[in-house]
Amino acid sequence: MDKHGYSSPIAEEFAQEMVRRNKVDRIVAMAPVGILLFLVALLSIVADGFFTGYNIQTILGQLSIPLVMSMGLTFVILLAGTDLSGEGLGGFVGSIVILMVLNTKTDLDMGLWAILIAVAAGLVVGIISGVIHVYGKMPSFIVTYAMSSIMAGFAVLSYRGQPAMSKYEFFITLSRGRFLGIPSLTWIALAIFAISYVLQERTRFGEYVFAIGDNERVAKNTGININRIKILVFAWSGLCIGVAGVLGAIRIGRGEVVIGKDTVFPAITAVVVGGTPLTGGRGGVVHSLVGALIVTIIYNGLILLGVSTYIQAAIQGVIIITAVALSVKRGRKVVTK
Amino acid sequence: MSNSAHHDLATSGRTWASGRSWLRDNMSRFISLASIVLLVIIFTVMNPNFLGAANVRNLLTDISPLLVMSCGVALVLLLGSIDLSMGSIASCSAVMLTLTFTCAGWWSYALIFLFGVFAGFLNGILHAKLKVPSFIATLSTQSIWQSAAFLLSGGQPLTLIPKNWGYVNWVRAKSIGPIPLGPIPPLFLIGLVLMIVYYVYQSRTETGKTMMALGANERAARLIGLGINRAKIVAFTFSGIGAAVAGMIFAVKLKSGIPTVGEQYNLIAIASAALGGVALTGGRGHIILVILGVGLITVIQNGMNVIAVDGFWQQIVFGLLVLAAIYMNSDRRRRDLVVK
Repeated sequence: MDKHGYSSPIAEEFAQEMVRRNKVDRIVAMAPVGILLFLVALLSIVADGFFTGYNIQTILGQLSIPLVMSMGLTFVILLAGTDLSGEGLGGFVGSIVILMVLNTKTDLDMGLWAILIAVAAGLVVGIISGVIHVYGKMPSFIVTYAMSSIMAGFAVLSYRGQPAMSKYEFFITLSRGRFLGIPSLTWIALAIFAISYVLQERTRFGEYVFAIGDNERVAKNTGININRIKILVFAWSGLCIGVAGVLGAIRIGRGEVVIGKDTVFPAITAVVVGGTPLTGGRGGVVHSLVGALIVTIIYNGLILLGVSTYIQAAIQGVIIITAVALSVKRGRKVVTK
Repeated sequence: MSNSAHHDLATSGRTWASGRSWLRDNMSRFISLASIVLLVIIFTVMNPNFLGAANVRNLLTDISPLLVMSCGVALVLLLGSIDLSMGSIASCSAVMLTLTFTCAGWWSYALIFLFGVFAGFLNGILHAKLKVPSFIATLSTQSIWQSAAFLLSGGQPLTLIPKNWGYVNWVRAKSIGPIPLGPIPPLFLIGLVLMIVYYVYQSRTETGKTMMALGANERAARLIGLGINRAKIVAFTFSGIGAAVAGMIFAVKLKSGIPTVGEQYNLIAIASAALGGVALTGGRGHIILVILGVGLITVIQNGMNVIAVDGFWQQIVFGLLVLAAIYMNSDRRRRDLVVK
């Protein structure tokens, strides 16, 4: 019934349709949480020692790097882009941070400044990727894929084949430290999550990212400086990769290019499984937190079940294809490249 | 060259194309060709044996795996899609070939070829039917085949046992029956044949032409009733075959199955296709001219080995080359173009 007192069947139908769609959307949004709970229940039954205090602490520790990586990636994927540079860039940042603190290879002993410089390096490389992507009009995945190769080269170049070991007390304390039973590195990751949440929910930047991801042309016509936002998103992603690289270096206590290896794929899986589709515009960092938990729990569970580490990557591959295939729009008119 | 320019015009519909834009469209090819000539001159001056029969033979052998991979991925790039799984399909093929000789003998080659067909077909189905974006579909299958390669080899490089060397000795053949090959190695001939087959298929059959058309404008291609999905699946299948053949070439050349042998070739194959003038946005490129990019990459690779540059420099150089090549081929004239 509208204000004129007669009912308009079309409007009513439309309203009903919207209510129905909202309901479906809400159920779909909750699906990852359901999967997470199901996995926890399943693994508690199947895997010995899964639901123990010790293993939960282990899971939280394993969560830190995928969570940080996925926080940056979420914004990129919200724009319908991709950042594949984590493998090389994470390795590079991890390598140089160890070279700059007290270590076995160089005389540099810059302490906390080293962390700052290393993370800034990640940020700068992110900006470079963003600029090349935006002004060169080149697809983001190939720019960042090439960037990953370049930075992996620079990583090995920085330590010239022989990785440096960390002798920095603070890193050792951090890698072993706990607060309220949660590993310190996980607290850092949670801090990054909190910042991402504020960026997404409380800033103009976050709004614009959703607007661009939803429809770039419309966003452009409303006067949003698309190029600036896109570059900022890649900068944020670079910064997150930088933090992840530093966390990786702290964890293994060695500055080596392998720090970045096999970090990008879990992060993409986390974002997509959490419910941010590769076509962008929907989802967000809270979804990615759930996704990161799912990815970490699967990883942890498979190890407890004694599954070969070689198969882990294959299983992630199957998960990611399934998740993407379930989330994409189909139909004859859809163009996917 | 004129043929390629014709392709470009026909598919992108740029009727105003002048001589200058023709030059711009072919920029990466000119630069590749000029760089090859320049580098060959430099290396010959540095070492007169560079163009000797022995080294030419080496170079041509080195070219072959990259050539088959690049021609395969070039077809996928024509669609505007990408294949990031080639490297691990090649690794997996190399490992499997090394293992299957003992039980399957000469049939091993056919088996691995079929594996390539299957792996490529799978990518095609995932992309065309399930509508998974190609980069994520092939990134996922890449990790699946990489896992398979590690599992089959136990994570270690496998050496071909001497008993089976009989199956790979043809690599050093100097003639096919009565026909002498001169400095041309058999492996290069395989690469050449595959390239020509791909070229003829792409330029002469309806499905092949559809690849080009749908890369230029998928909606239009669908509206005029072209078999879009078929073309996509065939392109990915060809890419898978190229990767599997490359893997077999690695295995017979090195007499071993190394589970990471193809790892770096994803990027290099894309780089050489782009240097040969294939646009990543699809619809523009020429299979035969991909050999220019392959030649340049191989000369750089060989040259860096000759002057003993560390391996990590190659990663940096090839990364930069990809960026430069794609930059040269990307279309920045349209202001409303949305690039994701």
